[in-house]
Amino acid sequence: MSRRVIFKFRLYVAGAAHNSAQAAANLTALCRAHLPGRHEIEIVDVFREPKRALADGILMTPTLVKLAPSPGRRIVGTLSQTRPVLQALGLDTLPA
Amino acid sequence: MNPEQAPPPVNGNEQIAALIATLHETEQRLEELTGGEVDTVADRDGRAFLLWHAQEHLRHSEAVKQVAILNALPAHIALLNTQGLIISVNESWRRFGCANVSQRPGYEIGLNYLEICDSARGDGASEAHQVAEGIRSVLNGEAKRFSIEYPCHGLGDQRWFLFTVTPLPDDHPMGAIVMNLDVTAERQAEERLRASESRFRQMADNIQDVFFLQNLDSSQMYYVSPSYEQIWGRTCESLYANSASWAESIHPDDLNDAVTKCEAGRNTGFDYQCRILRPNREIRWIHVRGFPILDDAGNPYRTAGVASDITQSKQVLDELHESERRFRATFEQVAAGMGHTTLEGRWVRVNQRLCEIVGYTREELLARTFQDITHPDDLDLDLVAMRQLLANEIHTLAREKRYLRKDGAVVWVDLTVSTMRAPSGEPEYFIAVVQDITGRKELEQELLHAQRMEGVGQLAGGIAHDFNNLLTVIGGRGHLALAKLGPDDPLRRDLDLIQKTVDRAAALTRQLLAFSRKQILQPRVIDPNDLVRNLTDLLERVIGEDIELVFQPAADLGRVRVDPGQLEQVIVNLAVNARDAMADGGRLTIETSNVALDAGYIGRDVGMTPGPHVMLAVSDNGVGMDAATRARIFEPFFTTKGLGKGTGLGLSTVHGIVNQSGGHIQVHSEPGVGTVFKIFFPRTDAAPEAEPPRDTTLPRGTETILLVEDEAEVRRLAREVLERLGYTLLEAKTATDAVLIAGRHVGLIDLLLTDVVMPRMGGGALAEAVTAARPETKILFMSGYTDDAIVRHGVLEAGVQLLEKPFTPEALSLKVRTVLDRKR
Repeated sequence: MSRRVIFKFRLYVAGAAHNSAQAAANLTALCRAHLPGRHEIEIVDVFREPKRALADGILMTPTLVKLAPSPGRRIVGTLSQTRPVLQALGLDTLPA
Repeated sequence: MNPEQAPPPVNGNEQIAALIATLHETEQRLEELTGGEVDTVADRDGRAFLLWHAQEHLRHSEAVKQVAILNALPAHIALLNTQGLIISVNESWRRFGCANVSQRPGYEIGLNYLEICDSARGDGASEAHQVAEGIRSVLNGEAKRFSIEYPCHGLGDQRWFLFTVTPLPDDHPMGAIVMNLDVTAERQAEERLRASESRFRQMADNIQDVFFLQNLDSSQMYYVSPSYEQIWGRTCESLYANSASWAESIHPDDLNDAVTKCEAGRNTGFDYQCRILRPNREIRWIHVRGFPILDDAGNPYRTAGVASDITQSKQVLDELHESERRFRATFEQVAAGMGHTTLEGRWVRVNQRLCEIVGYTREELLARTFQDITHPDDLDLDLVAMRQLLANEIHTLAREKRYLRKDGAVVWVDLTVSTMRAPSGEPEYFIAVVQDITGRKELEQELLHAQRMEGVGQLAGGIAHDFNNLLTVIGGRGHLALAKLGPDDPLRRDLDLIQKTVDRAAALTRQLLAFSRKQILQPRVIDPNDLVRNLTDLLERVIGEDIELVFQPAADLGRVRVDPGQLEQVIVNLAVNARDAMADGGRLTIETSNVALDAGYIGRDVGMTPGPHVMLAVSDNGVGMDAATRARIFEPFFTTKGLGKGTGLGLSTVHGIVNQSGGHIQVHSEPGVGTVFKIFFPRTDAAPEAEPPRDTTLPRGTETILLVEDEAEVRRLAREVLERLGYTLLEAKTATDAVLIAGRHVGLIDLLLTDVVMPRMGGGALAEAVTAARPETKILFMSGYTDDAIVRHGVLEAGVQLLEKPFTPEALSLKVRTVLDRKR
């Protein structure tokens, strides 16, 4: 896997709700630790843009959508448990 | 609730309860499924539904935070509704208890703030009304914001508040937020700043000196006070724009010094004076002082400085310096000695001339008092005068006194002393002006001496006149008597003795006349070497065998015109004195030389003229003389010899003869070393004249002689001598008689033999009268001393013949014959 692959994420949140804020904080920390310089994060507030959530089939917040690289993944929750999250995102095999 | 739906039926409550139960169950189930990590769920339309625990969390945290924030604010905040009712307040509002027009204690929720403000009276009422107006304008939507700052007179202190009204953030005002903020500290800080600024301005604007601040790194002028414009004649702006113009204004001659001192004093401060050039080319003197300003680390980063215009004081100082310099120059260069002494007499300031006069160096003199160098005999008067000066009894002391030089010599000075007094009148020091008058004193002494000599001379001359007449008679009669006695007559011895005594008396009379310069000189041109040689035998007899006579004649010695007999007398007298100075033997040296005397050598000596001279020195290696003796040796009757051994006339005779002969005598002597007398006569180029021959037999004659003599005995003696020798005598007692006789006499009168000094008409006048009528008549004067009738300055005029009294019959007959035989 080339190191230059850019990970693109979209995180659906519910305004400043507690779990959403946790998820945003955890995602940012995770990307800084494991994908420095090669990640893009888009945060979408379902209260402000309900149509995008509907289009993406988002039922709950917070929901993380991994857009690239494939395969795509969806993770619901605060992203507090780092290891399962990394596994889900296919980052557990990356060199540290 | 949807208003279109019909109200629920009575049993609807149970349905609602059931739905709520379902809602709770559903939520609980969702929570379980998502592990509590989900905030919202979406329905089919994508509408997000905030789960209950998320709502609760949000609600709880917002309220806590907002309350905490509001309560933490120092501002007193209240929420008013549209009517002005206080709806909510924060903790600060609640606690604030100031007696405040706009917020009194108890202004709590439910009260109408507008009404409270409207009803305010007394202090602060006008601000309260303004506040009410401001609130209304915001509530009406007329203003977006209203604020006012107002003072609040609290208990014991004055406080300031900023009152702000803002509308609740909605399209239609639902009320307003009022906020009171205590801005006392800010206001006080502002006040302090304003006061500080004002103080600084007052100083900077009004003090005539320039204050400045300059950054060290860039040399940029940070601040300069307005006085810069007055002193420099340039604007402050120009200095800010170009900091280098400071240095550019400094006079080129002073720039280096200023820059050097500035650089050197970067960390420690500096101080320099320089001239600046104003744009109008005017020069000002500036005194600049700089002080470093340190940062927290202790490094200088800026200079604070003061620049003062010292032009005027500099001018004053310069003038003072100039005055001081002039005074010092005057003090040092004045021909007189000048000095200041303490009131005790110690010299504190002396000029070079004073040092020269008293012969001490400046350092030596400053270590002494005037008493130390004053002649002991003059000290008492000085001390008396000093007391009088201090007591203000006299303002100035002016006197002649003596100092003792370092070498012990006495120096006569003309001293003027005055007292320098402080403005209070207290005496501070003495000012002495000292003129060396030693030269004048010496001249005075000389004059005094000359006057004394003149007096003695007058006396001696008067006596000698009569005395010579007596001696002439005694001697003449003795001669005649001897001629009558036989060779073995026992009286001959007595008469011989009388004759010798008369000779000695005549010699004494001559000496008296000599020192009084009244004797008659008969000078001729001679070679002094010949004269000394001819005198050697006599001198050796005079000085005796224990003394060696050395004669050192100069080759090519010039000739002099003197009376040789008198010069012999001089040399003999000096030899006698030398002998007496060498009681245990020694050497008498006579030396001659040619000398050229210049004006400088002659100096103050009276009666000498510069030019070629012949010097005759008589020296001995005897006991010598001290200065006191040396000063008096020429005085008549002064003698160091024992009573009866000296007349005190020897050296005064010498002095008289030399001076009368146009010469000069000097004496150098040192105790224990010897004495040398140097006699100078003007040199002459004329050829030596031979001595007139002497005839031993009395010449006879037949001519007619008119004899005029007021002294009867002298007249009779002369008549008898001359008649015996064959002459015809006409005799007169006075000049008047003589004129009558000459008028009556028929026939020749070959010779007029007349006394010079006679009552009424003297010999001179008589001679003129007789020769006027009888030009063929020859004249022979007789005199013991002279006056101007026949001699000038004691020297016989050419053609005038004189017979010196006392005379012997031999001298009379020889002189008469000589005159008669002269060709006219």
